Amino acid sequence: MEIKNYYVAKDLDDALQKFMLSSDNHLLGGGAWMKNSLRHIDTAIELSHLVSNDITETKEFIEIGAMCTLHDLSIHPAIIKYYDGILAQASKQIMGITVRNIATIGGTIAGKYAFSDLLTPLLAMNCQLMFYRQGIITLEEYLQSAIREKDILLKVLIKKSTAKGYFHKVAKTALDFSIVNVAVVKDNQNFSVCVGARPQIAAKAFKACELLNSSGVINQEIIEKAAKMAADELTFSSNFRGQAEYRKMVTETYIKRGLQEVITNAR
Amino acid sequence: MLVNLYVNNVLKKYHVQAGEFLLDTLRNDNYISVRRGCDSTSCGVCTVLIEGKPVPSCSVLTIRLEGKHITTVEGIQEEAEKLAHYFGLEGADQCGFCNPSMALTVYAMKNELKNPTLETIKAYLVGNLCRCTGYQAQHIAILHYLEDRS
Amino acid sequence: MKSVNVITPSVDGKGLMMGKAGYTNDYVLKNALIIKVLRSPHPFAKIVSIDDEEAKKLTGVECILSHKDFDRRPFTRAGQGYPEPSPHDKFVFDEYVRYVGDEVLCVAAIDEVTAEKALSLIKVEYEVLEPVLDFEKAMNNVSVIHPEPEIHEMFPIGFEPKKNISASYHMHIGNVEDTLKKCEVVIKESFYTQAQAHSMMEPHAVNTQFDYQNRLIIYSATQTPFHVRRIISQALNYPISKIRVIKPRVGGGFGGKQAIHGEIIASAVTIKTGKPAALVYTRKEVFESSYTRHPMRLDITVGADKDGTLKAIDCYVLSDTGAYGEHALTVFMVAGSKVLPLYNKVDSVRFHGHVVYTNHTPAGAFRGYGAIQGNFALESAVDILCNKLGMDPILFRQKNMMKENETSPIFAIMGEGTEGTAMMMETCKLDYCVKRGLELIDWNNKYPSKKINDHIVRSVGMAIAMQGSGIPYIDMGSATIKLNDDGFYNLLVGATDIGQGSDTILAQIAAEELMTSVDKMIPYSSDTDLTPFDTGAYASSTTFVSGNAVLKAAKTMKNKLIEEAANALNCAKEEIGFDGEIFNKVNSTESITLKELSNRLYYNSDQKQLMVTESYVGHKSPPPFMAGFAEIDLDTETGEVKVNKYCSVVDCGVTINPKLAKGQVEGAIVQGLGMALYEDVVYTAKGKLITNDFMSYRIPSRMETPELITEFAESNEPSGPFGAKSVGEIGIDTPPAAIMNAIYNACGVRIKSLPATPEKILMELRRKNHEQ
Repeated sequence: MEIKNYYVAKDLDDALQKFMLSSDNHLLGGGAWMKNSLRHIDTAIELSHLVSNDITETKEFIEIGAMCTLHDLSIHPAIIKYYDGILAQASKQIMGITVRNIATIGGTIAGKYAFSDLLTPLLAMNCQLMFYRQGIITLEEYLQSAIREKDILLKVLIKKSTAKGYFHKVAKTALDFSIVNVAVVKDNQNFSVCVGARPQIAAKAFKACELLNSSGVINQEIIEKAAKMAADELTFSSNFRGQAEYRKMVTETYIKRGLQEVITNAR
Repeated sequence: MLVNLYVNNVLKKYHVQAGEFLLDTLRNDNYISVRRGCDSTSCGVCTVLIEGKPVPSCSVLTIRLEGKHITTVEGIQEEAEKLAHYFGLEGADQCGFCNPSMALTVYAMKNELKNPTLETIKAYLVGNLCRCTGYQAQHIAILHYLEDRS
Repeated sequence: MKSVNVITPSVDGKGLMMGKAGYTNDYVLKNALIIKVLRSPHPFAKIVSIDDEEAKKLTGVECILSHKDFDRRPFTRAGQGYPEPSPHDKFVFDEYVRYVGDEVLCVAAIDEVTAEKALSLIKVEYEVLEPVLDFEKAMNNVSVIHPEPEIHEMFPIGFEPKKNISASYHMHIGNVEDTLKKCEVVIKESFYTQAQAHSMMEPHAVNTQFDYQNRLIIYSATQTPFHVRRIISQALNYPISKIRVIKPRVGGGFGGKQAIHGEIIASAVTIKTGKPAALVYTRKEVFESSYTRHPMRLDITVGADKDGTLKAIDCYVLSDTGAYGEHALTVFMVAGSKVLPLYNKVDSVRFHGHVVYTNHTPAGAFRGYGAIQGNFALESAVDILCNKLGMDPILFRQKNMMKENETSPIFAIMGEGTEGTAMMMETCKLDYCVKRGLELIDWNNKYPSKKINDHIVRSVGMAIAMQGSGIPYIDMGSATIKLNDDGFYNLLVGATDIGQGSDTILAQIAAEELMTSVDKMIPYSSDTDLTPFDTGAYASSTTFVSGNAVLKAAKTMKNKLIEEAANALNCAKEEIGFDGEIFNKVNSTESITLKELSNRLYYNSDQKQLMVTESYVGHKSPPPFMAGFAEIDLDTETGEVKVNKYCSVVDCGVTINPKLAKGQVEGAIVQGLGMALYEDVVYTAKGKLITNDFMSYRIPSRMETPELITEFAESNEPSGPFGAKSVGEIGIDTPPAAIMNAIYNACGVRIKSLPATPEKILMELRRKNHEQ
């Protein structure tokens, strides 16, 4: 790959202006995926001094700076505590320690990578994104918006909750990318079932969630019905990592297991 | 552009292009223990420490590292020798191409984790691929190294 | 024994971990030209024109070489003895490109950026031809991959390029069809294996320069420095006396560095420009443009009587050598010769087949070549047969397998590319290996399987295997031992340490015989100017062949030392006793130390350099044997397999270095597990390799690696150095069959095409459940 210029932004405004100047100008995250995704960068914009890499807690939220590395994410007590630590689990299963020490949560979200293991639990937790220009929007809105408005992600906000969580990555080996990944969150009686790397980007199984949310008692029958419904409503396709049919089968299985887990372990 | 780095605690001034990666900067400056295995963050061979943390030098832009402390295996010779001793006893060194990166990652792990178990060692080192040993002899050697408080 | 069969750290391990220079790329001169290769985007095409005018004008571009710059002189890159059993079907560059990644031309420039820039400025016009991408349709295809008239075989190997056949072979003992007709139970199955990638951590690397005598010096990460020298001389028509190949430390080979890679191109650049040059493959080039394991289809029929007596094995193999025929015949033959003798009591055997060209990345040598494919088919078939017989697969093997002091007629018939060599199994502890393996895995309590919960089944599976120890009458190793003042020695070997630790074990052998310590035996490998000839690190030859050469040299040195001591002490050599340090004259108090003797020979009296060279060529190839046992957990709802444990019991004779021998076995086991379960090779419909990096091609990481229990049988091979056989390859053979047998034992699904991905298992499982 080729990088012509390196530019240290004076402030966020300056960074955004530079960013908007050309489609060949890019914001630098951790750089873990840069070589594999970009061939040419005219100006690489540095903003690591302008965007936080910290994880802080307010009364209601966990606030993750967009520059927070996946490794820091995977070992932070609050990330491990809430939602049964599904975000930490997802983070620590991504490649090796060296990559996790440079890859950032902001880079993952900004890249909208379909193979991402982070987007699935983040979506299941209904997280919000704080952008420099657009302000706060939900991850769900962000993932659904086809047009990408150039902006700078500052923070990821996760609502504190006693919700139960489940995450599972289906992959050939520990280091491999997901064939699919499944996240299930149960927040009181409110269910969120999300599947990513299908190989399309993480999405919520709305019908299945609705079935679960409208069923008073969640028994094995409902679980199996919901798992099947989720597998049916989501779209799957094939690539060299797996056929659509297989993806669908294991999605159903792991949603079932996820639901069983969040229900049996319910507080 | 000029970048000041502390490589193994020695101040180094490098004139680098915007797109130069740390792996090339270090190899060009004769830190040949830093080796290229895949060039795409996926093998662990080019690992160095930045501020004590293991990173893939093939994918870190040198220009972003102003004032940072870089450690190569030349900077942890005693620890590397000690680890090599235990690798030798287990026959775990084989081709040796990835072993400087292994020494650095194990050293970082020792500083980061208290009393790691076999499973946590595996998880920490999972990004360091090895095609020679089948890994197990390495793990036994690493456990012995960690027990050695000398 | 003091040095042999004793835990000894490898001689280079500490220095390499501490970051010392050692590998090819560590010796590139600062002013070396950087070479980049332009590679074909098409699986099969003819080059119509090359426009390199713009690139030539670029400052810093020193030379561009394409097929127009070379005489048409076909050769093989296989890196074998001479004459090679591989077709001479490769040109330095050719006007045809035969796979995506094939070489079109090379650029040498002052730095990498300039070389890459130059590549982007070159325009090549291709006439795209219809490729052959399905090896089962290669034979007699209308597309002929090698139409060029100059190519040839060196001796008959069944080479028929007009039919896309690179090699073919047929052998039989008895009449297999008649025997099968009489068998009470017969099964016939087809198995497929994939184009596994070596994935050594050090990419292929070479650098070249002229020295002060104007000789061409080649640093190469190779397993075969002497073959490299010969092939470069042949391919470039350059005097062999002006070539010196230095093999520094090598970062893993596994057969992938037996053949030639960029050595010819780099040499050509240096010869053309007079300047030093370096070529290091990118990881993508390693995957796309080096070599792979030969993918094969193995059609196997086995027949037995109801009492479990195996009567006949019939095996047809179709092997895919890709675009060029490196090792086409030899790999194919080993699928028979190092597999079929396992069951030596059959009435009849047939082994035949074809090796075909396709427009894929060429296949070449890879640890356990042929044997792993053949073993997967045969050892799977044996379990299938046992199932049909209703017989315990262990009892069946114990009844039918090779035993000590037995032989197989196959040894005499099949060699590697030639006839074989008859031999008795002076050591074969296979019966012990099986018995001990059963204990280690706790077979009786686990076979065939048990349910752990509603979706996990735990099961066991096993396989037996054999290899060889070099190729008799072909592989030659030699060793030179030199005595220095102060009484230490140099051990110069052509044997090629590629990370397996051969420098260490050869030093141990020499030290043992000379009763000194390993630190006084300084090994050096390999340098075609300095070290004596050795065929190289392949065919499990180093411990046995090179080890025997070292032992011979050490014995000769010992005799010389005693002679010189006798001279010094004025007595007959029969009167000298030697313990490695002191020469004693019997019945007297007179003595001289080795230190004193060596100093005397250098400086004082009757001065001379003691230096001996001995060679060894095997007259047999004693096979190492092993039994491998796997325990797996299989998820019946997802098809996912977790290997919990792999027990290996190996008979490789006396282990010269127990830990390094274990390392050879365990490293190979994990590579075999990779082939069995993870290492999927995927091409696009247009013939481009998708799995061309470590993110898409998955070698086992340490998380997939099971608990490895590795033991060695007590065994002492009379023909081996200090009782040793070779151990480099045997470990890789059993995992595919053992794992497939375990999968069958878990869920009744028989996977016949590698790797056994969860997807394949689940699909088969669902189909089976659907049928029931």
